[in-house]
Amino acid sequence: MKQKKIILLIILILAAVVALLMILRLTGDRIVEQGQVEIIRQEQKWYLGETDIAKVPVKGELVNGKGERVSIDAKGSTMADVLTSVGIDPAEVGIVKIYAQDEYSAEVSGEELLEEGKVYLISGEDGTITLVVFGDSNSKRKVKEVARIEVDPK
Amino acid sequence: MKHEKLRQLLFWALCCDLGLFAKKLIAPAANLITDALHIPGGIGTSFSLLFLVIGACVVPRFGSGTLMGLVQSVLAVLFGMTGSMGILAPIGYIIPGLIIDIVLWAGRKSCLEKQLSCCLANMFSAAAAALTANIIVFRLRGIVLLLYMAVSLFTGAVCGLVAGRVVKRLERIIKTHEAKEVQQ
Repeated sequence: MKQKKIILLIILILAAVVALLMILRLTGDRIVEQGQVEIIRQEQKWYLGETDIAKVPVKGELVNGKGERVSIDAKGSTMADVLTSVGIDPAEVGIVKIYAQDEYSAEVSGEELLEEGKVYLISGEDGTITLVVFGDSNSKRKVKEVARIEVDPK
Repeated sequence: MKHEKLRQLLFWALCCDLGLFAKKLIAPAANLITDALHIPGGIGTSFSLLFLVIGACVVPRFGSGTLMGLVQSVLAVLFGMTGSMGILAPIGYIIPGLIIDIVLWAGRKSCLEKQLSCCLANMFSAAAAALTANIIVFRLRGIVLLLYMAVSLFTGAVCGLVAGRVVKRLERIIKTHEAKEVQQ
């Protein structure tokens, strides 16, 4: 009987901790509206919407974790163009970190940004933005629901 | 092979399969919650570990959790269910199995009730799985990592409670069955 009370106490404490952290997480400044992307370079911040990104047709193939080829046919922009649109010179970029709403992240180097037809941000049917990196051996760097892009200079 | 040993192995195999496919089944519902919390998971794994805890608790042998984790990892690789962990997925299956073994063993040594042992085993194994996934794939930090771990621990504890109840019922059935066998 005593041990049952211990279990219930553990569950209640954990529920309280989850609730507290949930409030902190959902009221924190890291949540960006769906379909919006926050670009951060040092202290500067810019916000882009789906219409700012879905500009040109993007077609290609990605290889998923199982080795299957998945074709991409959407509207989007190269990452270099997106950064240029907010006044960041891609040639001066060291590393770009791309974060999803759930904080899953991927990194793209400055050299990769300059490669023709490699790094794209595409718009999905539900209005969310996805990072795709063509030429990767798996789709680990496919970041769905991109929320934040952090740019580190060289 | 002894009849009893074969029965135990079959039970473990059933728990392995149920754990592996339960994760797939619950994923859509679990994703709804984790998407709302903006964390990359944690609920499906806790639920799938429930079956490993049941398997390791009903047949109390040290190493059973690790063995089931190992079998699950082989199945996951064969069926292409490795997710974002890729080739490192076996680590994500074996470590929680090992944690289940350690917690249940410690519970037996300190004479804890099975229900509490199951709860703690499910809780800590879910947290271990979340931590492993974070080190290999997600690399979360700060509040997001804390929330991810807390959700894993909480769902692990709730699933552990369920596992404890299932174990209690299964043991009653097994005892009745054994008594019938002795009578015959």
